[in-house]
Amino acid sequence: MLKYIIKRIIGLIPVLFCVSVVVFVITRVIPGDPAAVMLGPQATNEAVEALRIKLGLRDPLLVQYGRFLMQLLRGDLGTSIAYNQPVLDLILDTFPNTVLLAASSLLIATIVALPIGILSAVKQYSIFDYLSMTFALVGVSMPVYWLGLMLVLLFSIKLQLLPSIGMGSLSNGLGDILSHLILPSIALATIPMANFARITRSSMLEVVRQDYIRTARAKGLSEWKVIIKHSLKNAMVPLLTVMGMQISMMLSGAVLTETIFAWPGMGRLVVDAIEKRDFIMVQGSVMFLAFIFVFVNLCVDVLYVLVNPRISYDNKGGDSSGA
Amino acid sequence: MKVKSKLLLSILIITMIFALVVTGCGKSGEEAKQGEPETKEGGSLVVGLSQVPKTLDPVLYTGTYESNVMLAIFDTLVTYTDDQQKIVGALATDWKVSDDMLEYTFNLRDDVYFHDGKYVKGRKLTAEDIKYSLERSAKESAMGRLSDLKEAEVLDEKTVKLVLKQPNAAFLARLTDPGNGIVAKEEVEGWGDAFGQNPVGTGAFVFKSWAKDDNVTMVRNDKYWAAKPNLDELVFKFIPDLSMMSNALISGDIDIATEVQGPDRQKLVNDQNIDVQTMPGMNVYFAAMNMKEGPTADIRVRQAISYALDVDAAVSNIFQFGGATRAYVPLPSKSWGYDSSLEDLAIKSRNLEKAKDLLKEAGYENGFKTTIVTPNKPLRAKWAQIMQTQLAEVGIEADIEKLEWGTYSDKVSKGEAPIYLLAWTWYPDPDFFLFQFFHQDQIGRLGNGQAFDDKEVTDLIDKAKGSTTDQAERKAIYKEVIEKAMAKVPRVEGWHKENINGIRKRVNDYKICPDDQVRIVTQERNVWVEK
Repeated sequence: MLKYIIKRIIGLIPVLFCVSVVVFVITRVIPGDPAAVMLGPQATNEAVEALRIKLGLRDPLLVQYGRFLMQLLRGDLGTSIAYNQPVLDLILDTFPNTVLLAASSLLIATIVALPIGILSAVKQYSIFDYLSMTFALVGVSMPVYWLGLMLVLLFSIKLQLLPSIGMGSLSNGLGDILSHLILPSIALATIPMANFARITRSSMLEVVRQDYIRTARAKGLSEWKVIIKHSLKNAMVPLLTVMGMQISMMLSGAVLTETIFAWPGMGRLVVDAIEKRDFIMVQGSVMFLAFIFVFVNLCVDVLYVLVNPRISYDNKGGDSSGA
Repeated sequence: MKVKSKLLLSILIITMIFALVVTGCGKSGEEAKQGEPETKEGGSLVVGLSQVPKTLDPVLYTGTYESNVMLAIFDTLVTYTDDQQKIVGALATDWKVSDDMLEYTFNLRDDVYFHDGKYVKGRKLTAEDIKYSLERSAKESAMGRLSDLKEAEVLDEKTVKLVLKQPNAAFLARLTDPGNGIVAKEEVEGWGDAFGQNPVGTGAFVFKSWAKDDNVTMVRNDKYWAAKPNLDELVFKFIPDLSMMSNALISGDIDIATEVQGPDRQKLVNDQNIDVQTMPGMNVYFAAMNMKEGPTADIRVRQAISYALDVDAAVSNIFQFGGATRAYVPLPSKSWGYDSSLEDLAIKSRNLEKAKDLLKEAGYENGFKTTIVTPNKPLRAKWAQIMQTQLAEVGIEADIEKLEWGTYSDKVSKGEAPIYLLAWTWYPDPDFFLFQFFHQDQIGRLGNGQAFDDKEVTDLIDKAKGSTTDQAERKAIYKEVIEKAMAKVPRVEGWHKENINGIRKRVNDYKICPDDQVRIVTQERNVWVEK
């Protein structure tokens, strides 16, 4: 197992290297001069030129890339052009907020989706099954933007129960943060929730038809034990795969939710950086997200083993893709 | 006779009753005025802004959303009145301009103190601070905001002389920019690069905290020279989505929503807890035509395009919910240089026959192909579509190129756009518009990407800037500039966009400004809130 993990970590190096090349090239080929964009329409030519030199934009591309790579190796993501602050500091300021949002959404999605998925599978073709799967279909197709606005209209404007925007502050107590967290978490949780419910159902359906489940029932085990201990554990593998992908997507792609609810997360930081042509910020945060992405995937692969002992990475080299 | 006198008597009585009622009303009106709520101290005001500031260091800032925040923290030597028609003293009580317009001598107030920062503890402002701040801006300003300044001389503790490189009548307007706000040297040098995250000034509010991407919070400066602020706390909250900003205003999460858009405006007007204020903005939206290359280099083609376009229809279509007035002159209607008699020089209404005749004359009887270049902004993208349809009616086949800002400004500056849609907004001084649009030195820059090339106009613009500081004289020269420029039909003016703010009724003494900047405490106002 340990050997596998080390192997995987070594395998990450070329992946991250490729990401660094791609992101560097992309940020350099998109049209628009960062210095001109930053200073806006009214800046003088001299001011724009001075900024270009200050930012190192006049250096050859290879020199710029070399500098970027050397910084990366030292764990330095550079200094943001727009903020004039280290990129890593800015990320660390906002990333925890994104993690908080993503984690609470994941929690909501899982708590709601698992029982629905299991019940739908166990009571296949029942009214509950039809209803819940219809809702899941609606949930998957719901645009976050629209849902977010509706939630605000209902809970903030009509009922005046919850704040509409922002994150609140710890200085006003934990309750302040929690009340600000509810609406964006629900908005962000809806699509994964619907996905999880559908996948839990289909994967459970597959498992409950297996021979060993029939055997378990024949042994006289209680239905509860059959479902939770024997079926669900085996049905978790595909669900874990999807969850892993969802977590990565939530961490990097919660931009819309963050924008609607003015949640000070990392997605907004990146989008803002792209608009401002703050490519040091863009390449730094993409590298950071790429790292998080591969790390989460690695964790999921390791989790497979813990959940399903039939999967093992230690035997005979061979294919180690896990899922 | 009897009937007549009865009639007269009744008229007299009715008149008396009427008079009584009217005066009575007046009295009760006065009483109502006396009964107006009394100014209350304390409380917190939350203002919504759509973009997140990057830095609050005056010399480094680049966006209006940043200056909104900085206006509360920093003071400048001089400032505009709230209606932006006149420049008055702020940190300076008065000033003298030398005859050659190269030296400005300012007398400073004696009652100005810096906020308590990490390195400065409520120290009194001196002439040295002015010298340090303005020379720093002259050297380091990202936008070259004070590039005209040669040096600042301290004459005594309370007097400072600014020496210019060349005469510039718009110099005082430059000084009103928060980018030329006065800072304390100890703080700037103590914090280094981090000063922009920990600003210390002399303004009405003291910076307290900055939650990245969420809000900037400040508390009142008890020693503020203009007036002790009524509010305890001022918070700028960053809400990128504009309809959410309106929702947040309705739900009471914020007190003032800036940049309110058409459909949201209607929603706010219908809410009885909210006042909506509008004000023609210090801006002008226009379509400029390339004067160097392509068919539009011919004045007859430019005239034909002006006749072919129905701007009134476009404006009422784009602003279905109101929010703009049609523009005729290349200057914001709120600028002091604006003269409404110039409006008659514009081609005001559509005339397709005339357009076709002009095209025929110019040798484009069957029309031609061209491109409308627009940044990817909803208002202008919509105008481009309307223009496309209208131009097709006279045989001009226009493609639309919708570009993201960086690419757009690059293309327009290089003179590669046949027709481009641009919006311009800046100080009320006409120089910040007319110099940028029509001066020969600006060819190859965004403002004059159409290559408007006229020696006479250039000389007049220089004259308005370099020969006098008298506003009336300058206005007359700018009038001539506009007449000469408009005679060449360089562009089709679109509209002046209104600034719209939504304000909760608990907020008092707040008024929207033409430059759409949020001002909370000035020499004319001191915003307060009902708790």
